[in-house]
Amino acid sequence: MEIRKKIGIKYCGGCNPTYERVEMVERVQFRMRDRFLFLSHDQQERDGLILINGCPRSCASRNLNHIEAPHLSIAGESDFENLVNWLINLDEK
Amino acid sequence: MKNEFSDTLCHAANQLISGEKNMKRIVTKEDYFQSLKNLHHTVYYNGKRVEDVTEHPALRPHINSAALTYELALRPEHEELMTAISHLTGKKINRFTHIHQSVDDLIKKVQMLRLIAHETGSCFQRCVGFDALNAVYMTAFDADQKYKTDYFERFKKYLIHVQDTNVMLVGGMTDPKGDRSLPPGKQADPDLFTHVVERRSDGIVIRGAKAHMTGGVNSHEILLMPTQAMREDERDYALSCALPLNTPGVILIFGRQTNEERKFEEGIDVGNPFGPVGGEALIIFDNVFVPWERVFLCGEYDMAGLLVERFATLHRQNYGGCKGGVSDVLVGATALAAEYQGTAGASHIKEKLAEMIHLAETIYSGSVACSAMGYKTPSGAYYPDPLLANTTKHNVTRHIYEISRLAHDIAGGIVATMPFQADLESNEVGGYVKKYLAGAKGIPVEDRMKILRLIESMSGGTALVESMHGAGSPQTQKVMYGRLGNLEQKKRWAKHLVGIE
Repeated sequence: MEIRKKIGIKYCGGCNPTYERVEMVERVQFRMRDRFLFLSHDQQERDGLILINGCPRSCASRNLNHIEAPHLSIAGESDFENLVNWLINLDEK
Repeated sequence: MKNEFSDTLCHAANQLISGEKNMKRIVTKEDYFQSLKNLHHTVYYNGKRVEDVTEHPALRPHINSAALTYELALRPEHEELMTAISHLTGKKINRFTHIHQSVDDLIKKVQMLRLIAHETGSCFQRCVGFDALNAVYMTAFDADQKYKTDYFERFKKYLIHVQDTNVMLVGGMTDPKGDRSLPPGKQADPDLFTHVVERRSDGIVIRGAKAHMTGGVNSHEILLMPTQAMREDERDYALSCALPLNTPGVILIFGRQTNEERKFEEGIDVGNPFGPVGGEALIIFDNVFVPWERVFLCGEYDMAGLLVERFATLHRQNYGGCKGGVSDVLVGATALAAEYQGTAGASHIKEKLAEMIHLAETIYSGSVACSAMGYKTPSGAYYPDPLLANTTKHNVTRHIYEISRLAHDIAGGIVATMPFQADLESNEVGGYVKKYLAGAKGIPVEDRMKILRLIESMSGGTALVESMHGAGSPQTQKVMYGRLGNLEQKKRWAKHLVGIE
């Protein structure tokens, strides 16, 4: 039985990103692979949602009305450690 | 050339169109390639018939570029821009088949174009059909309001077909036009403007041609529009209709590009593997039958100008998106060229790169602005601000030349004089090439040559002319300033300021 928490990932469209969004997500997935199962954002059952934006305009959350699950929006390479810490906290809750 | 309509051709066209109902939805780029193989349309390249466009080296780069409009739509990191929800069916569709339902949709279109251009560094062609869909949608609605026709309902059915099958469309506007001083009906050859030659109970027969059709040889269908405003005696030229490109009587002749032979090469010498621009074709309609269900304007001459203006505005909206994205790649290549040859630290190089970025962001700003100031048309579809869209495209006709000039300035004359890849790899002279094309320490000569060849491919010849004349020549944008610029109001403001009655 799967005991890892499920995390949805939603990207902005990526018109002019200031960093390599997919590469960052892959790094996070690799680092946290034992704790989390990473899924597409449209999965119904999820314990958290990561909004991956290419820039501070943060378009990934533009068309989301209400997000019930815990979520974190990131918008740059400097958010990497924040994201990792957020996931660790989420796992420990 | 045939001048008489053939019942045989008409029958064949009916069969072909009815057969489309079973057409498989194109999802992946492999589906796209296969659909083109299945099309068996009549394409000529350099005087010879092309049996399979996907296997032809001169056409393949453009096909690969258009294929990205399918492939990127499947990637989660791009679906927000590359897909939309159909307002007719509620299904998730490729954005290139969408009718803009909001200002947000208009902005996403521009963002999408910039994103794809980052991947191709070249034209990916599919915006033309996208803009034709939106322009005809709006105008078919207006024609129905005025003439009680049923074009809008017909068009919605056609649109659902396009959205469901995900076919690529050519937007067919530009007629050859012959003697520009003469109107369509006064031309020595009436076919220099595409027109209706026969009205039948089941459809119409058309004859003429559309020039510079971007992505023509690798599209599935064409959506025709008039080339200009028409007068009452030019009803036969006030025509909009759609037809598959394998309809009997349709012939496509691919246009030769600058450095055309590069596409037959491999490796460094190719430059941009997606080709310099989109790949244009002359598309001929030699007594082609179109059933009524695919006719969206036929004789309502006073709607022709409106349709032309809408298509032009929607297409000019794009140019800061796609050319902005292409410019991003060229700026990056130019910065790399400077690094590779040790000039990146010079203050004038930094200043010129900053100027290139300024120009690229200026054209992008225009596209975003005309989208942000867009509005709802009576049909419900959204439309960019026409004055700002024309201004954007007009800036593109200038700024792309300046960006390219700066790229040449920074990259140096080597862009125009560099040896072949075969020289680099030659046992006899390869050592000399490596010795004398060496740049900054640690940079492989091969990398320097790749970047310089990319700059050459992106900044000269056909790529420049396309930025000048694609979506209309600069004068067509200036004409719009006269109509939309509100000069009288500007005079009133000036008079008011100094107290002139």
